[in-house]
Amino acid sequence: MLDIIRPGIQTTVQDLGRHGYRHLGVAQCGAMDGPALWLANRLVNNAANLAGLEMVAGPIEIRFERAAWFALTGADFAATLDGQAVHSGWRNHSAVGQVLKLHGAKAGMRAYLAVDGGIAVAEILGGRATDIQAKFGGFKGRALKAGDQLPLGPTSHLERRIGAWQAEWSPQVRVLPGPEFEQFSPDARATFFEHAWTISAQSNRMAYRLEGPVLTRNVSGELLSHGVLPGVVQVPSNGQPIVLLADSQTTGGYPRIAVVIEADLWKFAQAPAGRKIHFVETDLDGACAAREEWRHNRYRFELSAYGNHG
Amino acid sequence: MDGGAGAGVFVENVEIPVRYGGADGPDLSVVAEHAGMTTEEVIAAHSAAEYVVYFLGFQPGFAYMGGLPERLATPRRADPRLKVPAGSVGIGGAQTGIYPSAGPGGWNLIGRTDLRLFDPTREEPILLRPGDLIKFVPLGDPSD
Repeated sequence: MLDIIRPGIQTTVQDLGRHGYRHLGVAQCGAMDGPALWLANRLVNNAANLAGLEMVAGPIEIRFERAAWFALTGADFAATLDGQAVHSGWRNHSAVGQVLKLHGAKAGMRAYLAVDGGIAVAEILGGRATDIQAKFGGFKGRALKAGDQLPLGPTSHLERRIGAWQAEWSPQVRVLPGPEFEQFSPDARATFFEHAWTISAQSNRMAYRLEGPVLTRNVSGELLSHGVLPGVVQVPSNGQPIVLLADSQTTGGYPRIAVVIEADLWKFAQAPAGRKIHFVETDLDGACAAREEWRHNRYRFELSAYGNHG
Repeated sequence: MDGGAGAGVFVENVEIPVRYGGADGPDLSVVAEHAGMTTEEVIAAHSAAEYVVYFLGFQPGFAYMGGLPERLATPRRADPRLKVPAGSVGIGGAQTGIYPSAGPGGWNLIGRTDLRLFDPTREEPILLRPGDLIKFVPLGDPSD
């Protein structure tokens, strides 16, 4: 059991997302920084898709009610265990009753906690992720509160501490041109790639709103509603892009200027309001190569940590 | 009626009991004014038509339906509500739909149903499926 003493703001139970239910209108949800939760789980030898905690803002305090191996990844929250520094990207051990404190992001935005055995909330519609909008999944379909007690799965027998390299954040986000890309004016298309876009304070797990020059569309008229996915970049009539993310609704109606490749989606998870990002054009081959590179990194980790590729 | 002859796809007829107007449908008079009809005529027209579920999206179990009588088409609210109660029946442009869970929404709300359109713990989490044929059945006195 994990005892939540101080919950922070918007700490949620997340896995790698709920897949296969978009046709019912059910969002994907799951960790905004998927690679970080993947790594946290694999550092404690959990199946990659077990549930952990996504944390956005400290201070957070969690008591371990059983001895546990745990790992923190993603943003460095200056964590301590009973006052001793705990480093991000490493496997750590806690005895019964020890308290993990996370002060808040030194850089980046979201930290992930995985505990051996995973957070054993019930699986609903193929996942354990919290759907905050529809209020189901995770722990009671909501962000954590003080006094919550989270069940844990069976403990593992691990020995040594291991650590791993974590990807470095950069403001370059690779995109494919979207279905309506050609409908934007030549100026707008150039500006989209040349301008540094500022992440607005009006950003959340559903979507990030970006601020910059107004992008104009040459074609008027509304589109029919269509399916959308995390990564789709919409431009409503105010000309300011919106990047759909993990909790994105399943359908939309705004023109799609671009689509962020899967390998770069995590960069938004680690970019707080006010940060600037650049869109960089790539193509399908570029997107596939980026995915291969990420697979290769995972393979390398498995090989060094467990002597096989999981 | 079933469409099973094609590919084992079954279409169901679903009746949705609705309390029109009042606190359950705060925009009924907006739709009536836009259509140049009385609220009673709007209720009669909305519940006389047969609708087809085009697809699900926006929220879990939210059914976009076609078949709204042309006169009832009403533009979305300029200022979307921050909280639309679950079960609210709305009109957005030429479509009608039902909000499965409470949340923000910009459609004109004309009534409300107690049916649960989405329940993730049910074996079949959704009530309405694409292709289903829908009728709205008015409940009680619309003025109360």
